[in-house]
Amino acid sequence: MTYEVVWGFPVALYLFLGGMTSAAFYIGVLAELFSKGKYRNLARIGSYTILVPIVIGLFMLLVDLGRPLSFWHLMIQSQPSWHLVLQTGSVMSIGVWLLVIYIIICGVIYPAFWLAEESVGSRLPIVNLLKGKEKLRKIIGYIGIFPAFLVSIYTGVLLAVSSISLWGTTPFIPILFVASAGTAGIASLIIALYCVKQLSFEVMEKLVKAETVFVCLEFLTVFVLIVTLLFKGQALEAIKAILGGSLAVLFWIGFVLAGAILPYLMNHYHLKLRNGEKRLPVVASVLSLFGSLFLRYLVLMAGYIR
Amino acid sequence: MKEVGIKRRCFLKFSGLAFASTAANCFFGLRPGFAAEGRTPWRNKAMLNDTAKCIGCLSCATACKKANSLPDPYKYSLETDAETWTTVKFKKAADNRVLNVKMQCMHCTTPSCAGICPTGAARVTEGGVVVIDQEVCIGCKNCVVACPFNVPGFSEETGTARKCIFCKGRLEKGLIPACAEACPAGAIEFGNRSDLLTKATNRVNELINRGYQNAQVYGIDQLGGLKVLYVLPEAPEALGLPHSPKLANGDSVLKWATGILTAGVLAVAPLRSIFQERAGDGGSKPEGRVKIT
Repeated sequence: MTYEVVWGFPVALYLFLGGMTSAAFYIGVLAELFSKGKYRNLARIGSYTILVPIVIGLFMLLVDLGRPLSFWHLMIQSQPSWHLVLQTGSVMSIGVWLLVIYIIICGVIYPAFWLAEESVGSRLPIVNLLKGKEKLRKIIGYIGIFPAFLVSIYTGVLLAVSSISLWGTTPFIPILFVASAGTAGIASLIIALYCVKQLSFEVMEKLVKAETVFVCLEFLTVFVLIVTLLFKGQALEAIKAILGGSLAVLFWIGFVLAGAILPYLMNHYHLKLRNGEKRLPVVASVLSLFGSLFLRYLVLMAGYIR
Repeated sequence: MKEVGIKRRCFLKFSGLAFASTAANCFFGLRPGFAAEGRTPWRNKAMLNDTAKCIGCLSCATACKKANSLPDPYKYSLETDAETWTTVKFKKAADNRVLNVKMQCMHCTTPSCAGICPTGAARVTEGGVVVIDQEVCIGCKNCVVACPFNVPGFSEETGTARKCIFCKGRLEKGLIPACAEACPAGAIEFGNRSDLLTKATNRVNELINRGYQNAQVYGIDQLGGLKVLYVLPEAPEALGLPHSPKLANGDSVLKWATGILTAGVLAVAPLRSIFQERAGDGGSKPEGRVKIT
């Protein structure tokens, strides 16, 4: 059994933050769209949770590079002459450009529209020009859904397009990461709403319902992934390590119990109480975020067990 | 006088040829010695590893390290990595015999490393040798997880991915790869791919006649054909080689599609039913909007 770590914790954090922010964005914008504006506050808060985490995520990616100062080779190269780089067969190359588009639209432009409506933002130059441009904000939000979706998917496809059995044998890792990003996105929305004292019972109820869907999808995908790999006789050592070996604690305690089941029960208990302490869903959301992070770290580490 | 005249004619003739040859070399950028075969005379060359002949002496690994200035030439490594570009894996066969499988970059015709490299540092050169351009590589390690043979390794020292380059520098000088030159058992041969294939087929027939029913030639059509061929006395899987190595990004469209389908259907549809406001639900008065000051 070889266990050489290629992509470690910084990459797990990068994948997690990419997924979390993108899901927070599209859940917020879709909530506003489907509710015909009733839950527009989710779009506003969601857009504010993108820029800082994604910049931290990109910093993690740089940290993991062997030559961090040459990161620009991903986008621009000087040989034989200066040109932009897009390797269409490379998921990482596509992902880099997706992230650029995503950060510009969802992390900068769209939140700027919301910021223009705040008393802080209306005093800022350029940003104040966007004040009252509600229709344009909505259009940019809808456009931003696409790069947000694709970033969420990209985090899984990056691993799936490899020769590591656990990641690449089936097409389920992208599905798993989309589902996990959904739970993380909802958790980040709950925490952000709590921080600005806008976490109402009604919004909480809706978000918990959405979280239930993503958690169910997550568990279903993990189950299907493991069964498929067992059926194909692939990544058996990795599955052994996850279910009962060196990664079992991280899987059962970190991801299944503390990261998914416990937050789910805590949120439902909070809804049952109706006017219960709002710190409970916040604690549940923090656990949920750790669960999503553990999942990515677990998938990365298990992949190296061959 | 007559004798001198002939010599002068010969001198002029050869001088003219030499001048023409030099001019052609300068104009077309041909390297001395390769003018007749083009710039990459190793294009149709290949390597044949005869697993049944390998004695596991690791002369190849040592010679490789010395030729490529890699550290610790006498240190054995179980796997190829950034500092071990070729090694021998000792695999136990079903009848408890130990078979020695030399591992190095296979120089695939359609390599996964070149396909997934985001900077284009990993690429197939003109002569079919797969290289990782050390000036362009940023050390993202994508090629390390993409190679179906688990060959490239990440070097902490250089911050780049590194692997066997088929002794490209030696080939350019008209030499053969160091591992092939060093093998004392004749288990590594370097030559024309077609000749080696014929030789390998004959060897496999010989092995089958000796009772190795699973003997086969490996590398003929895997990933478009490998520049490193093998004579295997057993099935590839038994020797740690993938039977049908896959191009890592060969099914990337499927993987993008499943992700898009999940996000599009399994995530959006429930979100729609959860957040959708129906008639009589209390209108669409904005909820929980408080200005931040």
